[in-house]
Amino acid sequence: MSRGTQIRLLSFTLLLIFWSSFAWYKADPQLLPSPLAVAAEVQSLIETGKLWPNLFATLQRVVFAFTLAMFIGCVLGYCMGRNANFNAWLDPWLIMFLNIPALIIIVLCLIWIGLNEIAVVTAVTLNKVPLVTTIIREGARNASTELRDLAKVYKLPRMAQVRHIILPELYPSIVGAARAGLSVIWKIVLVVEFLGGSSGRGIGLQIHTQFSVFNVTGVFAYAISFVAVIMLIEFALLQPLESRLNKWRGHA
Amino acid sequence: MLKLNLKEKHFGDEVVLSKISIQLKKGERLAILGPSGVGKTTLLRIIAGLDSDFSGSLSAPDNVGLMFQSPNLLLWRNAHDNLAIFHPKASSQSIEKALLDVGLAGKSLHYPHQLSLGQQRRLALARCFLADDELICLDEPFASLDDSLRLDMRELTDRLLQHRALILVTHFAGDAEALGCQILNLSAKLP
Repeated sequence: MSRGTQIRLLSFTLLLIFWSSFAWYKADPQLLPSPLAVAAEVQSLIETGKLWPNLFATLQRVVFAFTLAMFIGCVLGYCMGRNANFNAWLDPWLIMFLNIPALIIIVLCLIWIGLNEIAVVTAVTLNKVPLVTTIIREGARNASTELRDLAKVYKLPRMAQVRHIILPELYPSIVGAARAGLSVIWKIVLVVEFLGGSSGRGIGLQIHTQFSVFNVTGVFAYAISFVAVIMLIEFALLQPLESRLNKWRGHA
Repeated sequence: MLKLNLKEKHFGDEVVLSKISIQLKKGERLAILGPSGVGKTTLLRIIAGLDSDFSGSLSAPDNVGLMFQSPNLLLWRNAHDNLAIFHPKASSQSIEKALLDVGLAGKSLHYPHQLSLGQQRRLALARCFLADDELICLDEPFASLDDSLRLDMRELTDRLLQHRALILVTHFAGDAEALGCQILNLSAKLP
C-alpha cells in the first residue's frame, strides 16, 4: 500500500473517530446518529430495496445534466477563448448567469417547465454551464497560437487539429471542469429533487421525506450512499482518466 | 519562387510595414534584421501565408517549412509523432532519417520534456525540413541559445537547407552572415 493511500485511510479513520466522538458526546441519536447507526440504516435501505431506485434516478439526472453541461460549456468556452468578438457578445451573459443564485434558476425552471425531468435537467445544466464555460475559456485562452499557426502552415486537417492539438491542450481544463462540475451538479440535483419532487424518485426527494419526519439517520444514510457513489466515480473514472491523459508526463 | 510586393500592413490605425519588396529564387537566402517590434515576425507571417490582411501581392510556394523561436512541439507526443502528425504522408523511414539528420537517432520514442533545449530545437528543425518544401521560414531559430549551441544549430540549418530558399528572421547580423544571407534591414525603414 502506498504512503499516499495510507495517509488517506488514516485521514478517513480520523473523520469517523471525530464523528463517533461527537455523536457519543451529544448522546442524541435523533440529532446526530453514530456512524454505526447510519451504516445500519444504509443496510436496511439496501435490504428493503429502497436505496437503488432512488440512487439510480438521481444518478441518471446527474449523468444527463453533467453530459449536457460539459458539452455546451466546452463548446462555448472554447469559442469564447479563441474568438474575441464571440467572447465580447457572450461575456455579459456569462457573468450574469455565474451570479444568478442556483435556487432562482431552479425555482424558475420548475415554474416555467413544470415538475418533470426536463425541468430538473434544465435547471441543473443552466447552473453548471457557466462554470464549465469559464474554466474551458481560460484553457482555450492559454492555448498556443503558434501551434495553430504551424497546423495552418502544414495544412493539418481540421479533425487532426482537434485530435492532436486542441483537445490535448484543453485536457487539463476539461478534467478540472468535469471534477468541479460533478461535485456541484449532484448537489444541485438533490436541491431540485428536494424542491420539485421530480418523478417521485431520487435521493433529494427521500431526504425531503426523511426531513419531514425528522429522521436524521435516514437523511445521513441517503446522503452518504450518494456521496459514496460520487467518490466511486471520482476514483474509478475521473482519476484513472486523468492519469491516462497525463501519461506522457510520467515518461520523464 | 517568392515574390512579395507589400504596400502597407496595418494593425488598427498604425502602419507597421510599408513599401517592402522581396524576390527570392530557389536556393537564395534572405535575412530580415531589425530591433524588436519593427515588424520582422509580421513580415514572416505574411510570407508564410499566416496573415493575408495586407495591401499588396504575394506569390509564394504552396508548401512552406516554418519554425518559430520556441520549438512548439506537441508535449504529449513523442519525437516520431511530432514529425508524423505534421507530415502525415511521410513514411516511418523518412521520419527516422530526418531524426538521424538532426542528430536525434534513437530518440524517436522520447517525449519533448525528455530532450534538452538544443535537442528540442533540432526536432523542430527536423519538422521544418522534413517535407522538402522549397521555402523555409525561420523566426529567431537561434535566439536564447549559448554560443556553442548557436553555432551547432547554424551549421545544421546550413546543411539541411541545400537547394531550398530561406527567410531568416534574426536580431543577429552574425547569423545572417554565417548562413550567407542577403539582408533586409527593417530598422532602416523606420521613420
